[in-house]
Amino acid sequence: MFRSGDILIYIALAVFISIPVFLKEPQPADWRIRISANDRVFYADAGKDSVYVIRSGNDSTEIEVKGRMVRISSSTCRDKYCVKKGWLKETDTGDIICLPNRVIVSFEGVSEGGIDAVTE
Amino acid sequence: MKVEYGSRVYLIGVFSALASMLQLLEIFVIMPIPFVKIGLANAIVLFFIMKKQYLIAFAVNIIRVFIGGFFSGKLFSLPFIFSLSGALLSFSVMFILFFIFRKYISAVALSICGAVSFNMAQYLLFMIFFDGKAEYGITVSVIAGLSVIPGILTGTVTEILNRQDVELIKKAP
Repeated sequence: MFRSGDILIYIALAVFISIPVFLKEPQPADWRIRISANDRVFYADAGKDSVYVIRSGNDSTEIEVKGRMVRISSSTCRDKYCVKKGWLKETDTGDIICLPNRVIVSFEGVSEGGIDAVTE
Repeated sequence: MKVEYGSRVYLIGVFSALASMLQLLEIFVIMPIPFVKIGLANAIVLFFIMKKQYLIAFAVNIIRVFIGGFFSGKLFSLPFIFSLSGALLSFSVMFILFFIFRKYISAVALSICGAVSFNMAQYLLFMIFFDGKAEYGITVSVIAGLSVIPGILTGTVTEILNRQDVELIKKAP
C-alpha cells in the first residue's frame, strides 16, 4: 500500500544514499620524504627525481630520490649498511638510517589518514 | 480476528517469543547477498507500532534482542551491544515517524527507515569502536542501500499482517 508521505521518505533516503556517491573521492595521501641529519629535519618532495648531499665535517651522505622511492646511494660511513638497505618505497614502513653520519631518511604522510599509527 | 488480553504482559510474552523464534530461524535462511538478513522480528515490532501499542512494541523489541543474543551465545558481547543499539535506534526512528506522519506513511516506508537506521547504528558503533571515527562515505551508501531490500520485505509482511484485521481488545478486569 502506498501513501502520500512515502514519497518524502523515499526522496530523503535516496538523497542520503546518493550523496556519498557524488561526493569527491578523497585525494590519495601525499607523501614527502623526511630527512633528518644531525637532529635537523629537511623535507623533500617524493616523485621529483633529485639527489641530495648532506655534508657534516668530512662525512657526506648522498640521498637519491627517484620516482616515489628513495635510497642512500653513497655514504662515507664504514659499514655502509644504509647503502645496502637499498630503495625505500613509500608503502614501506621503516627508515633508512646511517648511524655514523646521523642521517635518517623516511616517508611521511602529509595528509591526515596517510598512516595508521606511529610508534616511537 | 479479535485478540482479548487481560494484561499487556501476556502479549509481550507471546510476541517476544515469536519474534525471538523468527530472529533465530533467520540464521537458516540463506540470502543471495552477504550480510543481509530479512529481520522478520521487526515486522512484529512494526505491527504493534501501527496498532499504537508502543509499550508492547518497545518491550518486544528489547526482549527479542536479549533472547536472540542468549540463544546465539552472544549475550553482552560486542555484536549484542551493536544489535541492541540498532534495535533502540530503529524503534525510535519508526516510532517518531509513525507518531508524526501517522496517516501519511505506509508500513513499507516505515520498515525501510527502521532497517536503514538499524544498520546505520551498527555501522557507526562498529567504526567508533574499531577505527575511532566514522565517515559519511561510500560505505554508508552501500549499507543503507542494502538495508532497503530487507526493509521492503519486512514492510510487506507487516502490511499483510495489518490487512488481517486483528483487533487488540483489553479485557475488563
